[in-house]
Amino acid sequence: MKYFLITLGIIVVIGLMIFSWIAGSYNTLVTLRNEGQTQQAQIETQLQRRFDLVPNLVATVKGGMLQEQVVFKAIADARTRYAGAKSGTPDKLEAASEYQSAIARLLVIMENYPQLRSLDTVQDLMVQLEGTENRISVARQRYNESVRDYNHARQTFPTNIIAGMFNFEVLPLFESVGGAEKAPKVDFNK
Amino acid sequence: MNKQLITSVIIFLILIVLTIFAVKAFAAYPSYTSFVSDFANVLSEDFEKKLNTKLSNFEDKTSNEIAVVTVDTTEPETIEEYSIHLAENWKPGKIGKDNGVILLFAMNDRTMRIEVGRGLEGELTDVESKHILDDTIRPEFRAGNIDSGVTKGVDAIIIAISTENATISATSNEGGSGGIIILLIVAGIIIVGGIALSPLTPFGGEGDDHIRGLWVPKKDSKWGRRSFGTIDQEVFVPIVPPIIASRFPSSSHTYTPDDDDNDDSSSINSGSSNSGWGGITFGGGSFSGGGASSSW
Repeated sequence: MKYFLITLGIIVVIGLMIFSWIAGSYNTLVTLRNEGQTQQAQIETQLQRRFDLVPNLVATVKGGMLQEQVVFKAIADARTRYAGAKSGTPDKLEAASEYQSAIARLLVIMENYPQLRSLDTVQDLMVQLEGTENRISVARQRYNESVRDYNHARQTFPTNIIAGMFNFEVLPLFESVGGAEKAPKVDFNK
Repeated sequence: MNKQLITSVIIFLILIVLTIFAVKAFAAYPSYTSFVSDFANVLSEDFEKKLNTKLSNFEDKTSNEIAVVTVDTTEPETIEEYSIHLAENWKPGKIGKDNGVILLFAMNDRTMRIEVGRGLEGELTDVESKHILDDTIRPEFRAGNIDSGVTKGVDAIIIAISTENATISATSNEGGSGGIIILLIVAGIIIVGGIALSPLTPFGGEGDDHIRGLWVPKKDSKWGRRSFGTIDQEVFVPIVPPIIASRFPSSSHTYTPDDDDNDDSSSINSGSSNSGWGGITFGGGSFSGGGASSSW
């Protein structure tokens, strides 16, 4: 009887330890995933800001750049693709990057139109765009950092057991497109 | 057993190495020396002191924290990366208000940036920041007038972010609410103590057989019938409220002149009263990359 009680006690203690370990790991994973999702929301806020700004810029310069229709089409297409992609998927992030490189191309082309670039409205829009790009890159960096923490916890032993049990999915990293991470540069005195 | 020991020692060593690397990665960002951190050593001593006083007074009045920073170079990072990392390390601005600004100059790169805290992005927009850099600071820097370029830039930033809370001083608010809290505690002690010791029943309890009301003598108290006789009516004895009421105006009185004083004697006392020189701590504001960059 005495041994039975001792054994029972040991089993209960071990059971409690396993339970608290599972609960702890589960909660850590949830916290990390929430952090990643918060940061992702930050990115999407800034991307939205960009989507609000670019049409203004396009509308202002389009008339003076009639022979550059290809780039305007690329911008419109990427916008459509982004709107159609599901939030938080790699597809959405890819569409955002595509949009960014289309804008970058537009800005390069605009270098050939100094009279357009010198318009006050264009300059202000470009400064705002520049600020938005910088915010996006800050948000992206913070998102990637938190996703890296989460994915790391998700993949390493022993948390990976819990992650497998409760179906914690891998979150995608948001890499910038080559050449597009440079924010556009504007100069008021040029 | 031996193998395990070796493994754990190796893991321990790896951890130490990782820690060293982590420390190294952060060492690239120096700690601030005050509101003005002249790491590139391009500002004159006098000017630095004056600017520091100005920024410290501005912080007193509005709680906005402006950090002016000069470095030789931001390499290998761009000025945008360097300045956001500096902001993440220093955290100028108050927690919750996020009202910090960093004005950063990289002297050898000839680049500059205004990094705006989240809470000020509405007052100091990207476009305004850009105008301050391009139209106000750049001409002075090109002419070689570093000090005056910095002054004019700081003044423009101060004007931009003064609009919101210049009149409502954060420090006086704190003093006011702190005073009220103390008053409430004192009032609470008086009330509770008064109730406990009083021969009267609080809040309409059961008093003398014939008297019911807010503050009536307790049964069997020596006040009993004698003080109120056998009047069969409600009796209200307002003991505590007048005490509170008389305290309130005097408290609001104490901080008003204090606030005014700040303006007049700021040049004399700010250095000592703030322990501003070298002893400041930024509050914990957060940044999301707002602002603008330029070059000269």
